Amino acid sequence: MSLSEPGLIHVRGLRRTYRRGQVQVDALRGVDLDIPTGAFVVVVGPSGSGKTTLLHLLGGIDRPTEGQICIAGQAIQGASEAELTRFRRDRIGFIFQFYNLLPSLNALDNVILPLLAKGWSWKKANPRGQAMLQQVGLQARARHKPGELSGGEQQRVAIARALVVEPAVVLADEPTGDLDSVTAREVVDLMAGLNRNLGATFVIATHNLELCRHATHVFEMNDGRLVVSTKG
Amino acid sequence: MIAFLGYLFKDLRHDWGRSLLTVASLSIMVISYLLTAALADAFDEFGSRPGVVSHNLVMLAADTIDPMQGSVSQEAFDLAVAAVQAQFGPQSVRRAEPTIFRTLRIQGDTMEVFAVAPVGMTEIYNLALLAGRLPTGRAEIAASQEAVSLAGWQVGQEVEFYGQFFQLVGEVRYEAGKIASLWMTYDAGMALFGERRGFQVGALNISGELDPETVRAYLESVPGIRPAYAVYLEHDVHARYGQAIQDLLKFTIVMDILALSVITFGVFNATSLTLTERSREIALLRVAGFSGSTVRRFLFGRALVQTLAAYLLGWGLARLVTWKHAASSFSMHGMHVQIILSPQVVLPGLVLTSLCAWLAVWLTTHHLGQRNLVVLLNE
Repeated sequence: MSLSEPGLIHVRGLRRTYRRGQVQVDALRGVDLDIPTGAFVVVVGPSGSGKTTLLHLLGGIDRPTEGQICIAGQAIQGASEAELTRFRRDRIGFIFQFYNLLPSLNALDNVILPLLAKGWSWKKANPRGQAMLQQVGLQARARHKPGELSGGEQQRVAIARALVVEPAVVLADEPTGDLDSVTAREVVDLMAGLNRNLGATFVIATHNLELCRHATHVFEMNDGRLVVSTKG
Repeated sequence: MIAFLGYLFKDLRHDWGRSLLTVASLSIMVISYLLTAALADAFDEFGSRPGVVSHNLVMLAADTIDPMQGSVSQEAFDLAVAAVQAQFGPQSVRRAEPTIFRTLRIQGDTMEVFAVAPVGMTEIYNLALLAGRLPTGRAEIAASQEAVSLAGWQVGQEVEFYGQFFQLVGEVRYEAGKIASLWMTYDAGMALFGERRGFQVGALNISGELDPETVRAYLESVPGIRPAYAVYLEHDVHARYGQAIQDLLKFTIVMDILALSVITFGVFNATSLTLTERSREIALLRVAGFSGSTVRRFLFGRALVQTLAAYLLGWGLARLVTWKHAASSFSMHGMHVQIILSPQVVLPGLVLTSLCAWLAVWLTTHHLGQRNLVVLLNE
């Protein structure tokens, strides 16, 4: 696979070390992985195995201690803060366990937030936001604020927000972790459907093995290392 | 920009309780700032009002704090006139008049009372008649415009002070003076205050060709004048009051700076609280692709809107205070001080408070770009 192929995630020797007081914590201890465009990747492993750290590094919201990350042809390990901001804005969509919607904005406004960051006007962004809400089945809830939505609905809004800029990669950290099993299944099916229909690459860190049935790749992590890599 | 403002106002509206509280607390300091700034402006206007530089020398008893506590003897005054004429020529003294001087509290306001011959009122003290006429009889007075304004008198009415009734026959402007004054004839003054303490001021109007300071310095060196008497330039005597006002002005400026500092810390606290309580939201904006500087601009815009709203509210309340409260126009040691929220008070205040808001937000957020997003997300 070529490094310049769009949507490709290419990681080599990735290490991330924290200092917690006097203690050095090795969150990642040299991870290598390759993910092709359009993949639906599930990263599993116990708590503290490094799944979330890996997603943070892939998304450019944290910096590696060592190693190389290349996403959609862009090396990000040495990028400036401004370059990382542009990278996140144009290439990455994030989905968090606790949705992280802005409580002051309604569902539609939350969805178009990344478009506003790109400099779009509300008027121009609204149709795109409406279309995304339709994709996740929430067009009727566009004017509702997060506090008026259920957990599953909030996560759907978060998914719409992650996809609204048509990112190369969607990174989801425990997207079903705060949902009941029925809602979690709906959200999983939704993400899998969007992966198929929109072609966006998904990398999902989870404890929910239900997700593995949709996965094209499953990575298992333990103690900061990638221990098993299987293709679905 | 419109998207930015749209989000800004949606956020403020969502957090309206906190926003209102911030605006209300800031507006209290804005009121303090505006009233103190208006007071400083009034003091400044008073202190910088140009006293007319005259060719009058004023001879007073030395070592007295207030001229009314001393007296000038007729012999010493005659000696002074003769000495100046001997040194600088017979035409060097155009007119010399003894003047009785008192500082009195009249109808609750401090006023200076001058008793001098009518010719001295015009030819030495250069009184300009604004209404009526100058006093000539023993029961007549003229009042300076400051006195008329303070006491609310009208020309023609009867005025009582020092246990005697006087007819207010004229309103005058005394250019060299800064404080409220009443004028009566020398004879009226002698009748009112008695002859025992004589006169307190020896006023000499010297030729316009002479340098007043040279004549003053010479006169102070004449034996018989020195050491019992001190000689001042007329405007220097009045400038002492201006200096007192300037000292107060410095104090009010300090109070203004303190008010602005409190506004700065108020915005600082509000912004710090926002950052602490909403660090996850701030991080989310960064994750969504807003740059650190955009987030800082958002926080500044938020603080600026709150500060402007507080300024508007504070300005309205300060206007209400100055409109309703008698203290907005008062006399201090006979000096009329009026507090006006003029544009030269309000507009610089607006700029300064906006700068304070910017400084406060900068102090709170200048390190925001360097903060780890993961840490912010987990806070």
